[in-house]
Amino acid sequence: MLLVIVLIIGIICYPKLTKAFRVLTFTIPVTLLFDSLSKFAARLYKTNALVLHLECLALYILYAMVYYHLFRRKKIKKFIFTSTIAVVVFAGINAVFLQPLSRIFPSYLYIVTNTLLVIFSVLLFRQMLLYPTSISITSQGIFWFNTSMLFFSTTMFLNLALVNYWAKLYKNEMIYDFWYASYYILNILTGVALICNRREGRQKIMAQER
Amino acid sequence: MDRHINIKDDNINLAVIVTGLTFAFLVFSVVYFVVLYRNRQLKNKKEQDELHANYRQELLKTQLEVQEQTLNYISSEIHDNITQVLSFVKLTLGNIASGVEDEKKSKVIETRELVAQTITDLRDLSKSLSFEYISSQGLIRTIEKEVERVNKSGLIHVSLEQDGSSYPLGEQRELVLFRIFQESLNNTLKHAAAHHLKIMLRYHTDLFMLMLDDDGSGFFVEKLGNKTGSGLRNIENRATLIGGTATIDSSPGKGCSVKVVLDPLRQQLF
Repeated sequence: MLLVIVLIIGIICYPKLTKAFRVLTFTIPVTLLFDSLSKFAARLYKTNALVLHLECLALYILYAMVYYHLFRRKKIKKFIFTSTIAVVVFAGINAVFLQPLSRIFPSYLYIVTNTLLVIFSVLLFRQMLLYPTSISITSQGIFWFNTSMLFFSTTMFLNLALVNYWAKLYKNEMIYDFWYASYYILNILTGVALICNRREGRQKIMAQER
Repeated sequence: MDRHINIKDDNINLAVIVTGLTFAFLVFSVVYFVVLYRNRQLKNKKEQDELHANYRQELLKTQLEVQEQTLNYISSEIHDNITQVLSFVKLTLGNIASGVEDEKKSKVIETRELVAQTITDLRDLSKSLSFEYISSQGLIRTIEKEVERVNKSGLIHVSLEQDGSSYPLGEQRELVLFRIFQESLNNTLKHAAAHHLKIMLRYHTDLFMLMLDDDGSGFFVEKLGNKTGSGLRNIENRATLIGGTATIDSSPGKGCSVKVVLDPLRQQLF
């Protein structure tokens, strides 16, 4: 439901969004699609590993594209591009040799992609400090997006640890709730980021008209 | 069994602590970033304001230099060219006057006197435009000369008052003050329809003030406030350039008062 609301926000805001945030909008239907497929696969085949393998890779590519458009330095852009290719290759190797596509949850892929996203997030915060704008930080879409990524990617390690260790021992639903909470925070902050970016876009257009 | 439950509880507690600490650390990091960013924004704004002020100062300085060069050029042209030609005309008229009959002679003499008057006026004008003249005579002497010139013209009655003993303000500042004085005087002559203009020079230890007060028709200052390039804006800009402040006070029917105040002890580049 939350994803649908954020998707509607994304569709409404889309015409006035910058390139990076237009790509970010695409992450919402992709997540929605994979989440639905995941539930469907879990019910039908008793495993959703294949969907999660694909979802993790697809979302990483999309987030990497968002970061690619947000960074100014060519070196970092090149790093993002190279890392994306490396992640695709690793995902293939992982799916075939390490954590088979049809059976095992792709935790290695999650660890690799989230580590990279944390690095991008920290680098983007650094860029923001180097080139501050006059707009209030809480009105900047880039800030909310980056905060959401930092929260989600860092808590993902914790999620994985909790699921792999404690969930096996206790079968405690609360641990999954924590995972869902991270998702909710990510989606809410994505929605805020899209709204803020739309406002920035409108302000820019108004300034140009003036 | 009890021991097993205890271990389970310990692990859950550990999980809660680790999760809590992670969230607390993340929240702290983001808050710290926001504070850092805000500081950078303020620092950047300050730097931008300083740059803007410096740019404005430089622009004004350049404008003033160009203006001074033009005025100097006009001054030297009047002095070296026009007045020389007119002097020649005056001499020629003098020669003609001796060789013509009485009826025409009076007209030639009259014309010669007019030319002589024009030469004197042009010389005065040339002096008031020349930077060298103003700097050699000093602010008070130059203003006195200008007051004499205007009073002689009969257009308006100008009075000059001085409070305190004068001290030098520096060549550049005196020149700028004189240009402010000229601008205000011209405004009064052109637009005010005033009968009297009172000029006040106040020399105190830590304050210098130049004030021009007329009894003209006056105007709404706010209405002219946004017109860039207007004479009044020029006065304000020039005053800023020498580290002073200009206050223009007027209202319809109540005349106009232009007041320039500056701290003579404050070091100013220009």
